[in-house]
Amino acid sequence: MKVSLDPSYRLQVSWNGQAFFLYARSLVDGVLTNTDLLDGYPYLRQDVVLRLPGQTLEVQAFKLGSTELIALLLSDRPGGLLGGDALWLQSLVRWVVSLYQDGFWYPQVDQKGAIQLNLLLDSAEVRKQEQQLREAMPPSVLAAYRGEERRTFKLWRRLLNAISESMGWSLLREARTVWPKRPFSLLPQKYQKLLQELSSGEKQTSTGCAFFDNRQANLTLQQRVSCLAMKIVPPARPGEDWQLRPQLQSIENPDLSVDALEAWAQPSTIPASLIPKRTTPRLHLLREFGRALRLFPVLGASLATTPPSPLVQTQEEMGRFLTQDAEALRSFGYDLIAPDGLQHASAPDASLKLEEHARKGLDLHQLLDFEWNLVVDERLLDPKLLEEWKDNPGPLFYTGTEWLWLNTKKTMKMLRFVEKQPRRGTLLEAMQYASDMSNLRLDFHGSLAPLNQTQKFAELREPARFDGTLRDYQRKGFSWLSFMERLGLGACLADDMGLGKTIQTLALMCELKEQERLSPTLLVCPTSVLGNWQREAEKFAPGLRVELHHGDRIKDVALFEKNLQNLDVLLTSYALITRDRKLFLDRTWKMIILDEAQQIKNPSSKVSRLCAKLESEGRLILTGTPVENRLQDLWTLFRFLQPELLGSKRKFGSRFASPIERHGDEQVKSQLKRLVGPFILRRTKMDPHVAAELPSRVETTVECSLTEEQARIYDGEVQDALNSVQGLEGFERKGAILRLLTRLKQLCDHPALLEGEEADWSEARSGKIHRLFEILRELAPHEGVLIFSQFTSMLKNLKAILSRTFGEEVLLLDGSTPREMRDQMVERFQSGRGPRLFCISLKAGGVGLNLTRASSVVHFDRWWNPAVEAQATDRAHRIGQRQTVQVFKFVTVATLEEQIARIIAEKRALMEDLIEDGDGWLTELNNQELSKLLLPEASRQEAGVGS
Amino acid sequence: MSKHGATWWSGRFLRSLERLGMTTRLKRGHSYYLEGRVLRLDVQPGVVSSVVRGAEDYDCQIYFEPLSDMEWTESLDRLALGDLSAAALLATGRMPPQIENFFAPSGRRLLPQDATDLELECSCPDSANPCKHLAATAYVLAERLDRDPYLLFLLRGRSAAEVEEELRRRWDRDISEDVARATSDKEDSSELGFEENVDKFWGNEMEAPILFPPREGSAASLTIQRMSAPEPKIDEDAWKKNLEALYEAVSQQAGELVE
Repeated sequence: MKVSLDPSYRLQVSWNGQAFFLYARSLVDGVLTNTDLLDGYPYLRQDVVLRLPGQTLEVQAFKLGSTELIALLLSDRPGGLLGGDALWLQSLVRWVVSLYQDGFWYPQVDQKGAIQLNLLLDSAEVRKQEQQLREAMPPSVLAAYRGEERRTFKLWRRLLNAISESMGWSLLREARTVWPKRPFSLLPQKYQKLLQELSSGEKQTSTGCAFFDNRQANLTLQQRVSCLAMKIVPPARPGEDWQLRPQLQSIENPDLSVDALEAWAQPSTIPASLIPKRTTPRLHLLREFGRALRLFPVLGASLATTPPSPLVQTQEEMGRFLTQDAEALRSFGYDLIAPDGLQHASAPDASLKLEEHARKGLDLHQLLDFEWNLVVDERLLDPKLLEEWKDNPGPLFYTGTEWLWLNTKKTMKMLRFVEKQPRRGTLLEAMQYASDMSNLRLDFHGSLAPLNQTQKFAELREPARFDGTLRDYQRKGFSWLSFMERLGLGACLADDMGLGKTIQTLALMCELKEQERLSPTLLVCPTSVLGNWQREAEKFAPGLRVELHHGDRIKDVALFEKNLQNLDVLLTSYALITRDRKLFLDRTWKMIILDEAQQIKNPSSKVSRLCAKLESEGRLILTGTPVENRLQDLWTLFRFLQPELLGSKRKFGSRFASPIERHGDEQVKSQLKRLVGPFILRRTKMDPHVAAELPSRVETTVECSLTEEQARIYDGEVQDALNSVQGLEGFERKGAILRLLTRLKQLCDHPALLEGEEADWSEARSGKIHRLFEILRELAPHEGVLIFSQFTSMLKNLKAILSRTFGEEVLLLDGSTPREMRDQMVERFQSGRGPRLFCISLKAGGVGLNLTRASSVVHFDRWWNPAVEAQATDRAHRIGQRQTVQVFKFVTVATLEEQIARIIAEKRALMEDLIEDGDGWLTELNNQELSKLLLPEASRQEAGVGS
Repeated sequence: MSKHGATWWSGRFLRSLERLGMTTRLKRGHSYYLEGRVLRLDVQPGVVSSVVRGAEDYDCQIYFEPLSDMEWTESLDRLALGDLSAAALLATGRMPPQIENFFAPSGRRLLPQDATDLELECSCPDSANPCKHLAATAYVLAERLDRDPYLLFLLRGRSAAEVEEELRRRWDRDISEDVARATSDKEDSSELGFEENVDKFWGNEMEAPILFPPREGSAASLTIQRMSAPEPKIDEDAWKKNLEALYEAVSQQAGELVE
């Protein structure tokens, strides 16, 4: 499919009982459409009526048959991002493919020769999957359905059949191409013909016969209410006998079961739901026994007596039962009820215990003691018992407290592997092992113990040069950073925004400075944050020599080198390291720190590749997002942090990414988590020990810069205005000033606010939007964010821009929003399941909405009266009641916003007494104060405008 | 795993006929059977009647001597209270291999033991006994027995329902009638409602498809095991091999769909 869809749309699919309808839904305005956007799809266009929440709509759609739908959903890029219903159908289709792949289907031929293809859904595992899928179906799948049938189960079955029959027939037809030369030999003519017809997709055969007759065979569980399950009762000690006790288990609710032997003796104790209509308990039990007997003749021994008795088995017999019969039984739907270790054959993992050999200082290349063990599900297997087992290997293993079912072959293999391994090695080698082997766990002991669990270890005090007090969790973070640095391991500090990553990093820098291991350190961050680092460093680490690398290209390399010797930390931006790459590549840094590391998440970008090439002894990454969840980002970050760990892109793809993303392999997912876990420390605002130390609001001033265009217009406006205001007085003057201030405010937001209907609202024209993107990318993906602005059209366009850029639905509330819609929006936002970005007009505020889900608030532009501002926002909407909220106040540097913000900060106390609403107080300024407010061009250049 | 249960039963039936000295005569009827000349076959207590097309359409009857009530009572007693595995098989519509052991002590068998056990009649002029027509009928009867082993009970005087009822009475003798209770419709009876919440409606929470971990191996051989050969004449192994080829081919194609 070459069609591609704008990321702010979703592909939706609905089933009307016969055919499937494909259409697109806009995340920006909810409009449903198909044409234009989906041009290029070779399907039939047909309008369809959809029943949606709150309305019924006729929508232009494409009509697809089952075969077309299956092909679409299985193709690698079905043409855009899939909506919930399409994703669900894709899951369903993939599941059905897996059923055909694994043989869970059968053909049914009736007396008249009609052939039907059915899925075999008996085994407990498949039934569970069916239930999971059925319950996850988004209602929009049936938005087009108009039929009579109202029962969800029946509809589900019909939909499943539509897909499975269609897929089955095309698979059969395709299968023809791999037939051997003379297929179906050794069978009578009639049946050769039958199978050939089957394989060519004929739905009717001239061979009338009924095989797979449900009446006789115990084939599917579809009509049954309960069936036998086998319960394994292990002996108290090895050497004693095992018992297999038949149970009668409910099919619909597998948790309900009774012991069949006891039930025979006391039939009145059997729950009614286990006995079908028109039969009696004992007859039913016998019938179920009879069915199981066919597959499991050993059961006959149980029935040799009246009343029936449990099967007694020796350990050897039990072992044989598990390896030979258990899987077969399960696939027929007969459950195996057993204690945990006996449910499945386990292949033990290897566990490598690491401890330092002698109590020396730790470093990456020091030799450690290696102790290898076998482990099953967190239980270490006693090596002595394993030796005994080795002499007489079998599927059953007693750990001393419980029984385990082992995969004999794999266990022997692992034992032999472990015997050959070295008993000494370095930390790096151990990490390499863990990265290469899919079933190795590292177990850190001694001084290495903190790597097991990043929460508990010795905490350091604030370094002498550090001027401030660390909160408890920050002290832990700093101690962890120090520990990782000493070991020579890369570290990723992934605390939520607002928790003080900057401070923890500065504490680390101070400690390193004391040990004279700091210079030269390179710190790279977004341009807008450079100023913040400088200020924080001055405040908390005044002794550090921090220099800014910014501005014009450096021509004198020798001077640069000389300067490096005289400083501790060089601050620069992502933009500049690529420009001046040679300067940075030509040396080995003591440490490189990347702030807001989301900037390098695109592995093929120049800046990302450059960072990976830089050389240093230590590396640190600061980011606000949970890194482990986004595999692609994870690899890129580790490419910088500790490349040996995750290996090449290809290796990472086949070893981790593919199994996790394409097959949903939970085991591989947890292996990856264990592997990278020691390198990542993440705390969130919701963590109890963090929340206790945080105030309910954390305010941050976000410095934005004007674009070149904005700067030009700004200067023009200021000149014009100052000239015209000169000669005015009284109300005229106040009016002119207010108008000017408003225009400048609008300009700082986006130039289009000053233009007319046809304005260009591209995000490249606004410095604030650029910074907003950076911040949003550093937040965890489901955090609720409120965006306030005074200008309704700003919000309207922000909504569209954000929607397109982030590919999600964005809510917008302004004065004109009807009450019902407003309530619905708030509910969706609060639920945590709907949109997380909420644009709100300050004018709509003051109505008391409940927005406690918000953990971040952005004041895109501000009312220059703090009391009113707070009242219109936080207090009105109970923000900060449930969790700590980070409030971002956007201020454009080198403009009036910055000046006014400063005045407000200085005179905060006075300001709170102002009764007046809004910005009126500004009009009281005289001409001199006014022009000071509106900076002349020269000062702006100094501050480095136009990023 | 036991073989396709009925094959041996109908086979035994045919062999018991052979033991009565009918081998060569049976062979005569085999081609008639294969050609589908037996137009109708009807089984009633004590008698099998059929219409077979030869030069004309002939009426055939095979009479079986039914068991007396006493003989039935004794045999079912033994069945109900002895080895339950036999009863269990019977409860699922299959004939347990040791079934005759329950009837033997009463001096009777289900399958024909000697010439007095069966009476053969045909309206054709052929003097041989049994004629081709009767032989063909015997083959069709054998085929029917594959699908419904209880037919032999019927021929000896008791229908499947009656046997089941009598067994049930023996087992549930010590419990009262109202223990057998009706159950609710086991199907999920939830109805299509209408979802008003916009996010739930569109399934906005779903960000990725639901993936299931790959299974350890194919269940094809187990599935095939359940599909017995459609007729007793077909070699079970050959049938299985061919189905295995079919399943393997389908599995391969399915694998390619998701590559």
